[in-house]
Amino acid sequence: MLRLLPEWRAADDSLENAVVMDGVEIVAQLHTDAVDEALQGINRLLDVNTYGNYLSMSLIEALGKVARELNKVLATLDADRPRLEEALQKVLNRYAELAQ
Amino acid sequence: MPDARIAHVAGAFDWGLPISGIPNYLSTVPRLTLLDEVQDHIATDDTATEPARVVLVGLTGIGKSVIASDYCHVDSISYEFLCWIDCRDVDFIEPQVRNIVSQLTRDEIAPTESVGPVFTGLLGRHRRPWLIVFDGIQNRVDIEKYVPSMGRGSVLVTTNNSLNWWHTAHTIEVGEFTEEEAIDCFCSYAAIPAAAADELRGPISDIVNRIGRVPLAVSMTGIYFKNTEGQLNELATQYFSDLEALADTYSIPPGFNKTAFVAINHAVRNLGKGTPAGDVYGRRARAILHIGSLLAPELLPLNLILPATADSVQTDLANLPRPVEADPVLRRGVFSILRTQTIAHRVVNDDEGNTTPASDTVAIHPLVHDILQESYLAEVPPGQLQAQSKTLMAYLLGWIGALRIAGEYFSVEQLRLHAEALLELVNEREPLSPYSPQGARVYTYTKALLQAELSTCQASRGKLQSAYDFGRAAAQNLSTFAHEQPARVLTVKVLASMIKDLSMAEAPPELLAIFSSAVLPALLEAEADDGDGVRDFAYDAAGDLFFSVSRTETYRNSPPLRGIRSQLEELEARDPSPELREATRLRLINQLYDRERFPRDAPVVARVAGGR
Repeated sequence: MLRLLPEWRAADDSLENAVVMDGVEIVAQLHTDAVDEALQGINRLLDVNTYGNYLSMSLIEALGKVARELNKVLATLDADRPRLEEALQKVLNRYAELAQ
Repeated sequence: MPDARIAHVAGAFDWGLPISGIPNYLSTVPRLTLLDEVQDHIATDDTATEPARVVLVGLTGIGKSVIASDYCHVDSISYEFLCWIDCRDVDFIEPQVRNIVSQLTRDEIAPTESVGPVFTGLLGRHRRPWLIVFDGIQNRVDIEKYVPSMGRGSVLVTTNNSLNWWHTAHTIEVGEFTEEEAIDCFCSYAAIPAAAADELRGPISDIVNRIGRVPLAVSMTGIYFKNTEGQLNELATQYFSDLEALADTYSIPPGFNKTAFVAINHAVRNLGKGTPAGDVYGRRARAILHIGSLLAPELLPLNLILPATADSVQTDLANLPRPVEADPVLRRGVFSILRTQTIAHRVVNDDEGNTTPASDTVAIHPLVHDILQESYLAEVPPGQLQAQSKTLMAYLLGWIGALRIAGEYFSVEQLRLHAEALLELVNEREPLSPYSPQGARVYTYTKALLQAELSTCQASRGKLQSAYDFGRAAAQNLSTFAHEQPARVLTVKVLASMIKDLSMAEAPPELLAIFSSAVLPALLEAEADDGDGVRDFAYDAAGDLFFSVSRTETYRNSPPLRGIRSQLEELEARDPSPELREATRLRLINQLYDRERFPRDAPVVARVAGGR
């Protein structure tokens, strides 16, 4: 997935696709011991705050996938558990805000 | 000593004056009695804990906003900060309040967080005096949540609604100018020197009384006389005979002084006439005001409206207008004409310094906007309203689409309000008479595409009901030309977006099945088309549709949707180039995810693979 991501991003250069692909990349990073990179990606996603709530549907999609995956890897990534839990809470809060 | 007084003394009455959006209307005749009354009832008492409230009530064009603006500038040192909230568009109040909160706290607040309590809480806790102006609000209920009940500050409201304000508020009726004020104002705009004013007092008094001493009309009439050669007495006779002739043409809305209404129209008709710049740019400036009146009155983008009001504009839906700067010489020339009147002022409407071609705007006085719209619609020859609306729609469509793709959402929102104002105007008047069947056809296509673009905007913002409504309106418009293939293809595109919106909103599967069944025959027809583009479209749309009807467990288990999915799969299986489709990418992502195909050298790859 990580190898194919640049190709997937290039195939559709819309901002909506970029947000969704960010989500896919974070999901893949969480499964490949790239926790630092994944958390950086999560912070970038949480910082996406566009005027007039544009992109909110794509963000909901991406954050939903990331939350599901964070929940899944918590059991296996013991060493990173506290910071992953913190990230999960932030993702869930943002998801709930957007989905309101 | 109360905190506020200590702070006041320490600050020596100079708070640094962060002023948020206070317009500078530059009144030529300060209305001192009214300003004194405002000050008497609004001035902060540093021991008070309940904000003072003053409501300025009066007809549009009577000068309420000018008085409020004058008060802000005259008494600004009494406040630590002043905020001006333009309430003419109720939907625009919340973003302005949000922006003020961001400026005051330097924090972002979440788009979904309710900003009212944050705003009132912030003001309630603030130790130093503040002033909030709500300009042009119709109903108290629309600002109630932003008006603090506690705090050391003052609230000033301007409105043309005299009813249902707070019982604790002091209401000031703003009426016409006094005769003295009207004469002073007229002389100032007509550039009549003080020495000559005494001599001409009789005729000037007659002129200002005949136009009802309405401030806006007095100033515009003054400018007319300034720009017209001749003796005031003789001019006045001609002027009023012109007004009488014009008055027969219009139906004057209730609540307006009839002569003032006509005087404002007359002033715009004569905008720039008799001046060197007016000879070159006057006609374009008048066209902008008249045609621009079909859009919303505020934040009219000059770079869009200039080319859209050119003498001859061809609409080519395959090559839509893009957001670009208009010829700067023309722009400056036209604006030099507009600024000679008090009717329009230039506003740079940008997103914290980030400008786009839509940022250079003019705001037109709402009374002038209403009058011009009414007179334009009364005079426009058959066919012209449809043709002009089509041109404006094509520009809005091209600009909104391009700015949305570029992520310039601040400008997109500005233009979206204009597009909605235009659609509302034409919807109220349809069917519009066409110049030709071809003109009507292009109009319908353009309108449907604009509605589809607005649907996309609303879907992106999570406003799914509104997105659905715009999509349905677009499909209805296109159904007029259902015998044409382009209309059918566009309809499929619109319906596919609507199905996606319904799917995101988790609508019942039966509803999705109804829409999807309607789309399938058109997809099969498009697949059989000779054109590569149309066939490509069919395969793209089939893939998107498949994902929309498979998003949730409920959809995947729904019998009617199961049948639709298998038909879509059959269609996709015939695609000669599946690798080009977004649906293929999404399937691959899901497959790789399900098989947990993450590379062994992943950490290295992860570092190099991403980045937008």
